[in-house]
Amino acid sequence: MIRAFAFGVIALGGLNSILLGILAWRRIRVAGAARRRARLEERLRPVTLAFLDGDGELPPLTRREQEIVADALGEYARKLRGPARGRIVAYFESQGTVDRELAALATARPAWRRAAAAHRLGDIGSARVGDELVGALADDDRDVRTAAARSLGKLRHVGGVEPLLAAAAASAVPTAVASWATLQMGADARPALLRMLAADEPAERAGAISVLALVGDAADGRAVSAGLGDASASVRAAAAHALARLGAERDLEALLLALDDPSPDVRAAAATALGRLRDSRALVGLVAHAIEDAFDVAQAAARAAVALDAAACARIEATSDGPHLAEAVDLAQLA
Amino acid sequence: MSVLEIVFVVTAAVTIAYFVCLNGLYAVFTLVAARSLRRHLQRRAYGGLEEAFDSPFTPGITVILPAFNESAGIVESVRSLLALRYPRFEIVVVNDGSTDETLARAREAFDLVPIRKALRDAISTKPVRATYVSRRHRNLSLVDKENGGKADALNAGINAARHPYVCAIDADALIEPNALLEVAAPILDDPERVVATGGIVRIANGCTIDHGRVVDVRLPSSRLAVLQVIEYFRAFLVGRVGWTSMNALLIISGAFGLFQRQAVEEVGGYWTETVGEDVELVVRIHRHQRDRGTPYRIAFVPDPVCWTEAPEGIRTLSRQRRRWHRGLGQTLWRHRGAIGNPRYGALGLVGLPYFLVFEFLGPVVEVVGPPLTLVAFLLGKLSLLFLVAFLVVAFLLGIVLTTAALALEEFNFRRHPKGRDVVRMLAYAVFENIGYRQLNDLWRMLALVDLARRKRGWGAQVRRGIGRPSTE
Repeated sequence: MIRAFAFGVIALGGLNSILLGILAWRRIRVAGAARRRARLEERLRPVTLAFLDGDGELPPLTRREQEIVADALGEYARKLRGPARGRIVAYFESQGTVDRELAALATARPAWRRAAAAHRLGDIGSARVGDELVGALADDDRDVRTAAARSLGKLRHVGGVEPLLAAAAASAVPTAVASWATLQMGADARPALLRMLAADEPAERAGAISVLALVGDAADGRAVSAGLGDASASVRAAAAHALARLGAERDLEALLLALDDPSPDVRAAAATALGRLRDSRALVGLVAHAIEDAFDVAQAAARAAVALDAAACARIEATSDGPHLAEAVDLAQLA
Repeated sequence: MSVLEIVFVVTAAVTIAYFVCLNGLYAVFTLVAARSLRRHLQRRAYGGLEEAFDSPFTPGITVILPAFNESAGIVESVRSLLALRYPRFEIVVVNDGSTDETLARAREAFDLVPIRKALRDAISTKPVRATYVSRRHRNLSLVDKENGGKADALNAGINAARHPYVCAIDADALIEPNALLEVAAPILDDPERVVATGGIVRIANGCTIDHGRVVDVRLPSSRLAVLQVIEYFRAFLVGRVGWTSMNALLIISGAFGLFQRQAVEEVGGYWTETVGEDVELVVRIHRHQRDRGTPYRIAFVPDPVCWTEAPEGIRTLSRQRRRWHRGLGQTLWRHRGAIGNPRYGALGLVGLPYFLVFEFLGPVVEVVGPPLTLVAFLLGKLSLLFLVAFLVVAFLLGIVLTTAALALEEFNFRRHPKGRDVVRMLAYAVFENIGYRQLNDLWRMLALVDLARRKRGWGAQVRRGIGRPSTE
């Protein structure tokens, strides 16, 4: 037993010394590497900027220098468009980086390496990798799928709209990222989004309507308002939300009906949309919901009612018990 | 062998078994944490957080700041919150019947004017006296209510919340600008299952703070505060990462925790009869989710940082630790039916039993065990060599585990840029295991006495305001 303890003391003492040694070594190594990198970055910045401005080609570089220039170009690629972006893509294509990353995306065993490849391909911006990134949305690993979704947005690959929203609906990628990616495609995404309004999955229809609300225009309002009659509450709520931006006078009746929807999400969204339509015919219904409905609906209805007619709401609020109308009136006076 | 001798020998055996199990578990957690943290950092680069920040589909968060007599630091705290980088958030300050200038300072600094804010009645609280909204920052409001304690103030904040997620933050804490986005990452990634997350708490004593932001990370000059810096590394980077890997995380620090509002409302909000409302809420959410049979996750996220002021005086620290231990005891008592209960999975079979044996009752073993072991030696039931060897191994193991926690910090986050600070922390790793830990055990023993005497309340809080020099 004593021998075991003695061995334990020696082992633990040794282990602690090793840990201390590793810590000291790492401190020194990291500090040295950071200094060397900063010096190289400083030296290479002028040639990198000249290359981006089209004032010259990059000179022959060592492997280390190539890595640093690639990192810098990757950073610039996230922010630049136009000819400078084209030069960056051409540089990475000429270096074989795009093919290397595509190979890693398809075959690398560690998931982080596939995710890194998907991420980098989006930064580089080569238009020819869109289909491979769409394929990566079916990867086993969530990080790879998320990185691919982000990169499809970076590339504005319109072919990715439907797979992206389908992946988000299936919770395969974060909704926030998939929706962001689709928004990057702007109005180009509209045809695909309109097609998706007929998708089988309610979550896909709801996702398409939500994005359409931000990239679409008044012409899409009619297609969106049809969603108010959908069997799924999430689709009806998304449609009502969307009509807050795309809605027109013709949607008034449908939105007033939606104020009595069984789902509070739909009622709250309809109230907000009615506030945006600025049609005083909605006032009575909104005030009734502001006084009597569930918290979130009443709050949305009160704000919408005040947006329609603040003075009338102030008079009603003075003789009613609805806390939401009082809040909305006070907030309107602050503005 | 007499009965007394049997008692001494059994105590010695229990003490040895206790040390072996505790340190063994921590060794396993350290290895798990090393792997988890490396994977987390790899994932962080590709998790799409920046895109989530730019996305209009990212869910909103209500940040709740309960404040009782926080006039020294309330303005800095709110200022740091206003600088948070998150697409949609509001701040609800809850003035819990402060008797100092908290309300006046906040009103003046942020131009808060009275409005009749509608409040939910989901959770009952002490009466609300007035509500305010800032003219300058429309996402900042204040609820002024009668004093009911921190848990009651948090419940009032939940009732005032507009967004589907609520983030509870201590009034003496500073949150890094990206912290809200980072702590929300697991929720953005998996909103169907993740019901709560918490970030890491770091100690701001010694750091340079400018406009509510920590701009230069340094170790404090106070020895007691340095020991807490090291202690926090162990608790967060090893303990919480380890428990998260088993989905049995019991503690989301009250200083910085994010919750799905509906999940909190379903369990009735924070329990106001405890001083450990943060632990108790997490355990109750675990139990509720498991009772319902819905898949869920409660996660610790190691990179979003909440900076807090550590006590630099023995008396203040003692009060804090006794309060924490009482809170743990109250939680364990309230949820005693879940301890060892297989219905609650890893929480019931591992998490709660660990907290009962090693955290709650641990001080008894650590304070009573060594003297009785010494008596067993004096009675000739243990050899001197065995006793010395055991003590040396136990302390060395403690030092190795602390050094390993420091290594996890250094390899993964490296928040202390000065090499001198790292050397100092390594030196203090010795004192953390010889002296500080025993002192903590003594305070926790006193907390057991407090519990037996049914002591309630938080006791006096000494706040100098984060970033200001100590007067203690």
